[in-house]
Amino acid sequence: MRLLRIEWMKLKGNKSFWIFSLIFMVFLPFLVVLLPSMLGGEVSGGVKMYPLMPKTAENTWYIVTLTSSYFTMFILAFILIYHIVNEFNYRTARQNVIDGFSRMQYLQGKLLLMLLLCVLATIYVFLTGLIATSYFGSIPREELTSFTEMMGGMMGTKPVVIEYGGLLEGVSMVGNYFLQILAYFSFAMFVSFLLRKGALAILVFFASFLIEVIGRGILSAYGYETIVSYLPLKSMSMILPNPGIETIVSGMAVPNPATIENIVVVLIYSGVFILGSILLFKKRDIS
Amino acid sequence: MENVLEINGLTKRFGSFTAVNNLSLTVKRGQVYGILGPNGSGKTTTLGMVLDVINPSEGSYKWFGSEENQRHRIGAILEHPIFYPDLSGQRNLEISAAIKNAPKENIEKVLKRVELWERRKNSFKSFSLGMKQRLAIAAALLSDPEVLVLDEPTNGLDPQGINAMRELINSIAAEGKTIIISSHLLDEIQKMCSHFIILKNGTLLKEGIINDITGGKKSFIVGSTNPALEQLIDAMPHLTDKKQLKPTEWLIAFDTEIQGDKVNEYFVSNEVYLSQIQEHRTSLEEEFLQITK
Repeated sequence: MRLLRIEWMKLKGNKSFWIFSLIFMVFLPFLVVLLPSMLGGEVSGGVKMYPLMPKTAENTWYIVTLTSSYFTMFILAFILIYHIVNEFNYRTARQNVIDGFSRMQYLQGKLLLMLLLCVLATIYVFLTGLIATSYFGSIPREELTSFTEMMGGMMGTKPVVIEYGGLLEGVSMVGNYFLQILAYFSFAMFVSFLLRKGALAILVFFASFLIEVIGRGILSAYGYETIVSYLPLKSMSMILPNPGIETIVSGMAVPNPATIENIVVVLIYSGVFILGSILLFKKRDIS
Repeated sequence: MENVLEINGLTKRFGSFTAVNNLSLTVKRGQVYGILGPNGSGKTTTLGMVLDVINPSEGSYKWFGSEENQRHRIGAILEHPIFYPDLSGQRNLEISAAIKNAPKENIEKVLKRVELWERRKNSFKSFSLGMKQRLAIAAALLSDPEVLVLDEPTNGLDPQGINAMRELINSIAAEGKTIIISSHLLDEIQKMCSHFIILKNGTLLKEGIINDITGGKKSFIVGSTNPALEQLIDAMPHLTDKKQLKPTEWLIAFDTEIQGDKVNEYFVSNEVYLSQIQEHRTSLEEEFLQITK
């Protein structure tokens, strides 16, 4: 608790932390609840269409966690990287050790902060998901599904009857979200301890996603498909798979859940990145 | 006296460059220990190693006879004062106190001691360099440490700032705390320290006691137009060194305490009348320049 309290003392005086946290807390509900409700309306003859609005509880949890995951990566991972590298820029990491922290204690503080950010973000995403499911679940079914039913009628198929489902149907996606951001944060932490320079660490963190996409393309082209799914960022993204277009338009589809194997791989990567951060901080001089 | 810090064969290499080479020294409780050396001599690297922010390439060190983390018993400033720039002086000290497990009440005490209590709510980045240095001293004193490690504490300060810092350090030393202080300002070390080492290119050139250089042995400048002066100087008992400063003026040194009137008596009894006799104290600067040339 002492280590977390110290991290909190450092963070609370940082204006950027408050600004980015506020952006996360305000924009997330806006993106997953307000925006889907605002985009759309009557198409013709009382038929309404809301293209981004989830039609089932399971899909709602999926959209909420997936959007949150991207948002977390851009906002909260940025806060974490910024917080760690700033300690090197200002040389306060060095002063903390001089003041009495062992290197391990210093690292434990950062690890606990990372874990706390994950937990708080997950709780917030869970609450946002509850609001989203409660709200979308309360919308009259005929309003929400009339367009889909009309489309079904036009194509000569039997009209689709969509049931929204129980509010907590699909809530396990929040667990996937937690695991995914834990893995991303571990990677962000590793990049921060590796590079120790603010702009560079942020650039490399985001660029690495692009680099891995290119790498995946090359590997696939040479027939190494099996390896692709074991690459660090790919395996992390598979925890909450990217949506296909049908997910967004239908508002009903839910991706294949992460397998145990996938979860184990991601946990191993997270461990490797955390261990890498520990080794980097312990073995290198603290400038 | 208890050993506060023992350094054994400490070496630090950065690639092919050796910053500190096989350094060994012992600092005992109550000493005010000066680490002297020109810029780039390895002073900060040495202190960085014993404060665990620089990993030694070879060798070891012990604080209070233990290899465990003892830094809660040490207050230290390495290079420049380092704090969170957006936080106030007080908030910064709250973080330092939490790391050191020091009681919060100490914050007011140390801020008053370094005369920053009135400015405690100002952000660190708004402080002048002198204020930053004093805040760093305040942070170092938070846990009432047994040892204070100060790396170039007067760097960049104006004369008033240097004087205030010196008085502060002397008052801390007067409480019996062990102080390890590095500087390239010889006058500063001479005024504050009891013991010293001289480093050059990472190598220990001399270890000693300030009084051995500046006191104890006495030197005199003597002058006379009498041509027998040099002959009589050579015949003086306990003479260790002589150096001609001008054709009629000599610097003479003895290996024992000797009074000026006895020196005069010696020449008068040999019918040489001195036009000048002046006690001369060797400064640390002279010793330093001689060793490092």
